[in-house]
Amino acid sequence: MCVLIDEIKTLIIETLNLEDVTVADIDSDAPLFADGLGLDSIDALELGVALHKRYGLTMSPDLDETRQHFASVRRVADYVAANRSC
Amino acid sequence: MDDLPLLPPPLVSASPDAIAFYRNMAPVAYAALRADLLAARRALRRLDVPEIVLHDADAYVFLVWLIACWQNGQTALLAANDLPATHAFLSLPWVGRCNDSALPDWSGDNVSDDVAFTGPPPRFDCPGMVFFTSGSSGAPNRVFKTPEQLYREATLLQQVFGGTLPAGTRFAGTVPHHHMFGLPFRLIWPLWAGYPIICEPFLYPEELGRLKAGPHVLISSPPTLKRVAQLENFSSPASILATFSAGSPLHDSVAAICETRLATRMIEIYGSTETGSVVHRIAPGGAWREQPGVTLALDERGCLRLRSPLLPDDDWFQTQDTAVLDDNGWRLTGRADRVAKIEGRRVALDALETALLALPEVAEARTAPLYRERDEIVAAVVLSDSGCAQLRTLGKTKFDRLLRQRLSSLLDRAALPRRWRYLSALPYTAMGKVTAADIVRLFERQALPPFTVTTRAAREIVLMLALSDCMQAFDGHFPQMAILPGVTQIDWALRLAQRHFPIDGRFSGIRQIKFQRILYPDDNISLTLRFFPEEKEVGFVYASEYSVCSQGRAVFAHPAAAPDIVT
Repeated sequence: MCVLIDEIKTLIIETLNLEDVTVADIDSDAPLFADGLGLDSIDALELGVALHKRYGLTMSPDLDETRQHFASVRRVADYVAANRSC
Repeated sequence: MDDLPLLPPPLVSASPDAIAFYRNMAPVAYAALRADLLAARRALRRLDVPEIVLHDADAYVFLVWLIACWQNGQTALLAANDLPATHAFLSLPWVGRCNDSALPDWSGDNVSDDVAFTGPPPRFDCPGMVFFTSGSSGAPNRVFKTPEQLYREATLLQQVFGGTLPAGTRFAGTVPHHHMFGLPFRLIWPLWAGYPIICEPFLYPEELGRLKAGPHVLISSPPTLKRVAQLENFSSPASILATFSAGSPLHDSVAAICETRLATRMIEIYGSTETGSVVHRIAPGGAWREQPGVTLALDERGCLRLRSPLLPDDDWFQTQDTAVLDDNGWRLTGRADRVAKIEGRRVALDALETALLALPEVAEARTAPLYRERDEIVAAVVLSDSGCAQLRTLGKTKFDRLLRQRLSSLLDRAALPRRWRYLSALPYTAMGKVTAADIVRLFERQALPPFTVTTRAAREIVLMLALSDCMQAFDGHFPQMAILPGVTQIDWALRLAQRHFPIDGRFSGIRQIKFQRILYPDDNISLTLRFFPEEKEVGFVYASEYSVCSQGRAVFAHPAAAPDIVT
């Protein structure tokens, strides 16, 4: 799980082209959006696409559900581990 | 203004001994000016071309060539600088003090007895000069001006501001003379009204202390005035009767300090290359007043339109500057074309910068849109003392986030800057402007090569690099041969390591570095990164199919903290 968490942090940095942000800067349990990493709605869109490409995940059209999966890096990793198809 | 004089009146009527200029602080009399004009006119006639490019950092030399051009009916293209790129862009004969021995020079024509000035009048009907403005698209636009337009501006300035200036008032400037603020204010107005001109620009505020006793006018701009406001013990024997500022908005706080420190009257000018001066105000606090003959109106977007005797015709001229008219008069509020489209959303950069300036951490800020893989706003910020202190404590990543957080209550998060640079000063041009191109340049970065992950474990990762898709990394090392510089190899290894491993520290050094084989763009290269958390080190190995090319160990022993502020 530790590897997957770092892998997802790397994916976030690369997908969103976050300058100056390193894997060590991202707290696994902090919120990705709003007050935590401060990602915005376009970031969410791009991240969804990247997770689909990398792990074959499909984001639920239910916004509340998606928001829960995106709550933190750890939650994303849990969701990827449970649902990945590649 | 119907009976135009044929020449700047002092050129014809001033006594030969009267002082026209101060060059290197030594007076230049009208007799010398007249002789130089005659010689310049002859040199230009020998050149026998309708257009020349004029550039000279010496205001005296510049003005002699310019007036001589007008008298010959030739057109001067006013180059902003003497750089090779500008020469390539303007492939016409250049005059002025360029380093080219084939250029015409008037100094060979020693005609010093031409005391009674009998030169031909300027050809008012021909385009006497061409200015270049930075177009919003990046390519410079040409703006034609006739000598008559400049003459009208000089007359207008003397009418509005000349009443309080005694004869002999010297005109000093901190701005260049090749643009449509410096030329009319620093050179044409005093030349027409008979005030002596100080040739050398005062590039640093401290130099203003060298002004001699006596009445002066100062032509300046906000970047210099901001520094005047920071000089604690400034004193000058000169009495500066009026200080003019244009180019960018002059903040009232700066105007108030300069007014006291220079014991001067601060006058802010708003205008443009196309329009000349449009309105002025007494700063701090004064309302904008139209220059004589100027009529202002607003279009449906709230942008200023104007008619002016300084325009080539009587039509309305449309600006992109927004304004409001209230009980106190006109108030300029920003630029309509400073609206960026970010992923389909409109972002008003002026509003964003106003919000940034209101933060206690921020002293100055400029934003620009950057359209790369994704549209985004970038911000170049000069921090206040408290902002600098917080940046050092938090580190750049957390501090970036803090600023975004503070703005997020005011603006849509997608409209906030995604990239930040903290500078000791904004990149002002000589004209006192900050261009979007100069802001965007701060965000260009050597790209990482595209790569695929071959194997991945907690402490080791192997990447295949597509070097042939990252050719700019090979530029400029050896002109004849594309090879990957060692510093680039180290930079890539460090950045990729920080992306893939939770490294808790800042880069502090490199050891056991070996460059064994040169890397070419067509190589199939793997990069292996190995993380040693206990040692706070990352090992890297670049290898081709056959052999190791380079290797080393990067040490991350410095505690994680803020990067130094970029200067």
